[in-house]
Amino acid sequence: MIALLFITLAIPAVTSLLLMLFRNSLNQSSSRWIACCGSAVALLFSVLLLSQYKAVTVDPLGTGNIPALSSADASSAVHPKAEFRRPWLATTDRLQLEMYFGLDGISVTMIALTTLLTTCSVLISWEAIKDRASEFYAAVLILETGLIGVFCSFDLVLFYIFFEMTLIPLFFMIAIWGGADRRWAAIKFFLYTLAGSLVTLSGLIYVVLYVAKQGLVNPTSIPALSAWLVANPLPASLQVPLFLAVSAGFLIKVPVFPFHTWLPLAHVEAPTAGSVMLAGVLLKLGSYGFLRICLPLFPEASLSIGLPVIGLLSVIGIIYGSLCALAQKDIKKLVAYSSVAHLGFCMLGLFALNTEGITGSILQMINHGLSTGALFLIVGMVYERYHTRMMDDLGGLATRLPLITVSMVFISMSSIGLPGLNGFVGEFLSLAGMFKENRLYAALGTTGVVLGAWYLLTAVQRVFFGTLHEPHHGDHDDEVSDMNAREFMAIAPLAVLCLWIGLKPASLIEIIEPDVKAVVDVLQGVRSVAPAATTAEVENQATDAIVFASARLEE
Amino acid sequence: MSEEIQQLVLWLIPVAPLASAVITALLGPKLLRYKSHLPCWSALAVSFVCSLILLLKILPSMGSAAVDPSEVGTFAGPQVLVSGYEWLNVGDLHANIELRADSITAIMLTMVTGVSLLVSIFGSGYMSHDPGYPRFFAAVSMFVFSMCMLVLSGSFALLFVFWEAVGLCSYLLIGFWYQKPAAAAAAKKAFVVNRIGDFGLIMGIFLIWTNFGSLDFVTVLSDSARIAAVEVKNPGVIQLICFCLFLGAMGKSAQFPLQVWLPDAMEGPTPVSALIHAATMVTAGVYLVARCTPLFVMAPNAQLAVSAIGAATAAIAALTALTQMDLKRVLAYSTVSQLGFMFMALGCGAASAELVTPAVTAGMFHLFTHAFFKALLFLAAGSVMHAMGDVIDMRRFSGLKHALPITHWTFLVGAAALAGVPLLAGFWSKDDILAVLSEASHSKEHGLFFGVIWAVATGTAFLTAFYTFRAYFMTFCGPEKFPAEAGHHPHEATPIMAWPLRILAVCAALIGLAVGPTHLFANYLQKTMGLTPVPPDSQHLHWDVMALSSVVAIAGIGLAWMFYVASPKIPGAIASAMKPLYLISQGKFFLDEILKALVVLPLVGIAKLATVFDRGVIDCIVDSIGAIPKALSSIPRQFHTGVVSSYAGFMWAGVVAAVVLVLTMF
Repeated sequence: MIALLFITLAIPAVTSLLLMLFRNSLNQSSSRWIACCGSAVALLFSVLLLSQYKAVTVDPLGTGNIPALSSADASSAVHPKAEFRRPWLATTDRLQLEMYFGLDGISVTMIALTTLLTTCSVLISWEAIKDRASEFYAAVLILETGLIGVFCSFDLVLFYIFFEMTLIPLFFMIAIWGGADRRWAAIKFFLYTLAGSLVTLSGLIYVVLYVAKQGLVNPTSIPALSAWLVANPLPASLQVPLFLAVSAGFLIKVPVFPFHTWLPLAHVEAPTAGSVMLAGVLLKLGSYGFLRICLPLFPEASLSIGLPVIGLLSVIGIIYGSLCALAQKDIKKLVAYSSVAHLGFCMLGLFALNTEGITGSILQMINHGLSTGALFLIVGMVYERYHTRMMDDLGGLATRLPLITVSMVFISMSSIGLPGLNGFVGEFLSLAGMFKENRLYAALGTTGVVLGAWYLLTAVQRVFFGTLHEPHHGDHDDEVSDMNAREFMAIAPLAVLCLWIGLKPASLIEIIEPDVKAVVDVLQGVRSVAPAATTAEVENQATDAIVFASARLEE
Repeated sequence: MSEEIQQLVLWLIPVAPLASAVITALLGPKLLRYKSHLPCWSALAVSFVCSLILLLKILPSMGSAAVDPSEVGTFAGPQVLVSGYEWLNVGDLHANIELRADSITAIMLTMVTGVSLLVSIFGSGYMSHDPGYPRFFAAVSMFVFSMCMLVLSGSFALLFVFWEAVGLCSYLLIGFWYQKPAAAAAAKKAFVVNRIGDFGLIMGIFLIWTNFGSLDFVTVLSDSARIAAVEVKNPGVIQLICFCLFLGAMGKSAQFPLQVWLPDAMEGPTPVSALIHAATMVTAGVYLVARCTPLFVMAPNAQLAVSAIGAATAAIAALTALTQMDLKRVLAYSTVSQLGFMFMALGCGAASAELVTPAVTAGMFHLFTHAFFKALLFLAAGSVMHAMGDVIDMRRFSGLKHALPITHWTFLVGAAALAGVPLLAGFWSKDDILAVLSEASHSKEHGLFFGVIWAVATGTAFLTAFYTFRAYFMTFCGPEKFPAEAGHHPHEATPIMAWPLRILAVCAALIGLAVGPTHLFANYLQKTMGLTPVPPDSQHLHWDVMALSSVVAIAGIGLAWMFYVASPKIPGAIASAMKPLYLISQGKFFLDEILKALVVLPLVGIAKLATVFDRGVIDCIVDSIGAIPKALSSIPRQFHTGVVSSYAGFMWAGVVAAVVLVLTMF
């Protein structure tokens, strides 16, 4: 299984290397075919990986006798089911750093999502990217490599390297192939997220050094670190500031309100492929980071600060993002703000810190990748035909573009959480999880369901229904044609998955269930032991944390 | 009947329309084209036959021996359970795909599949030249599937799934002619307003889940002791649950103030209005409240609210219908009004415990008869529209009774049934409601409250008779007049449209008499889980109420005859004499405008404000922080002028400083 993982990781890397090396001798056509093959083969291997993973780990008979597949301690919140460990960087008696690749249910599904969306991105860029095509596709594939890398890293060093590695290709995709204001958007995206992740890095360094001093020999291994911290919890005075510091980068990446302003800008300026990758996978690095690092390492702080504070910010994000989406005139910006709202659901579920919520949150990550990825694909298709994204310039396109309209209505329904499609399952579970912990947050979050239907159906109505109203688009006014086979290939798998997850979410849930359970067990342990922190304490801790974080920022 | 066959029958009811929907959606546009009605017809026929088997054969054969009757407070009746597959099973949340049928389900299924079969037959004539023909039948099949699943759901979770699914079908069918901006807007409005109700339903479901630990109907509803225990543990929670569920019902069943979407929904094709927005989907809210009777029994305040909202809706909608000129809108408002009647009845349980079952029976009976005569009226209106070249404004045609004889007499039967003419379907069910209300008004606790509701109901019944016959007289009587769109010789309904009209007319005329006074309906329904059967000796006909409601109906019809046939000048005179009242009624109580001013515009304003805030404040702060390093660097940058002499000056100053430092140290 681990060999399959490395193949999946290597294919995009090698393909992008080829594209870069031979960039002068490759034209648009040959480079896109190479990229298409590379991403498709990676997709194939990730599907193989997923099926093998399922065959090995999922226990259909419910006997509960899944063999221990990794060296991780049973008490850890993170259990890779396959692993590859090699000493690395330092091997002394007191410190044994190692590289730690692994796979668990969450990572294996996220990897499949990444490879799928990369393939869609390549297909949708087919005609849109004309200049420096081979560099463009190389960037897409490097991005894919980085994303897969993050999802299979189980040590902090590798995680951080891959995490930052994803920034660079996307930066170039926006800065070179983006819209009119692309430079500013790219710089803002890059610096803002980098600033956040540097705070995260400093927090992680502090934790590693602290734990190493206490005697853990491999403090960068996430499973080992988690197990150690379950046995020897960090003191409360450290836990909260460190939680906030480590969260900083993830909060910006998700993005949680009020750290979201880079996102609409980046989306609007990015080429379609960039938007698909950004919304579909890159944002999930934030929520994935919370799930993989913050919750296992700082369970007390997740409960005392995460649930009330990040929960509240998520609720605000849902309502605020929906309202902003409602007021947009640019349909791409509308979808971008809808991402803020959808990721709000995701974070709300995550910080419910119970089985329902976290499962819902992971499903929401995948669902948002599928449905928002598909929405960006459709927006891209419309843009490619009319060279505008302004809803006022468009109207009644259903008459001209029936297939695109059908897909748009279908994906919109998925996005606004219609039961039977994927969006509902994630939203419903996230809200149900939060309802158990905090009814007010859940009730406020549910209003997002109403607002979501409002803004998205308004967009559908304005752009696709009513009397036909097309902008002037060059000299060949009647050459606008409906979805072609290539575009269909890009969007059909997403739509099929939307339906499949909606009808049979169990097939996905059974993959991630054990991993969710491991995290929830650790959180439950903390819940039953720790008395609830008083408000004053929490406030003090929060102040400390802010002081700490600002000190870190200055460093 | 063996268990396998029972399961097969139960599965066939929803699966046949689903198969038809899939087949039509995939093959319709290219292959089936104008034969797309065939899968739909056959699937609905299968569903209907299976529903009848369920109604007449399977359930009666079950008996109620399934649960030990000695357990106090446990309601049970015959039920069939068929499990499908595990859908959501996470943590404490369990929701599986399974079917559950009991008496109320069987009644709903028979009504839904029967009416939809007739409507789909009518539809194939009505839509015969529409380019969206396959799409129409795919969506109708999908709707019937969703509606069947809605009433077959055995848990709140699954109910919610199909609650939304019927909403989707309604959205797709209202916006069927998507090129029409009004249709597209109405579709969106319907969906979004329904979502407001769904918010309540979701909250109710979460509350049930956290308090009962289950979403299963049997677990939650069958045991009154358990409900009481939950109430003891968290006082007030049952009431909260009921209010939340009722909010959901208000959205779907178009109750005040969420009724604004239903009249607009008339932008859809008329068969759709007949099926979804009159006979079936809009009654889902009534079904939900009736289904949750065991919960509502524990929350008298919620029941009072149900009655009050029902009464308000019924009265407002009836008053609006008085002055509308669009035939379909008159019928739409009458649907809203009749749904209000059903809710009025459902709330009567608050008056006394003995009234609970009669109240639910009356509400459900009205739902049942209403489906037939309202579908009939809509289809007849559709036939008028078809003949008049899609003109539906009653001022533009009149005296159609000779041109459209079949449409005329079927419409007349429907109108008489709706008005409550004695012995027709609507008479019996409306009578039941009035009887329950009048009994409730004699109770000690809420006597006055229900007295008022009863008065409103009687007044509304009078208005109903009046506006229904106003529409009838304006359309079919008076001088013969056709709009230009109709051509010179309006054509009567083709046989394929006429036969459904005839069958529905027979139903509208006789079904009330057949199952009402014979207590067939009541006895059957009362075997539903959660209802306590009323002993047969206490069931009797209410002659006094019947006499009153007959008088009211005849008076309303008579008044309409006087106004619109005998002396047609009176309405104009009254309208100008009471101009403000007339305008309020014609303006639909300005509810759309009020909602727009109070909800929509403020929200849009806030949304615009949020965008400005986003750019002006949040993003501005981010950019300012980003500008700090640049600002800081501006000070040292001053020194890097690039001029050699200034560097030399700095060097000289440095040397001097160093020398001074060294000298002072010694």
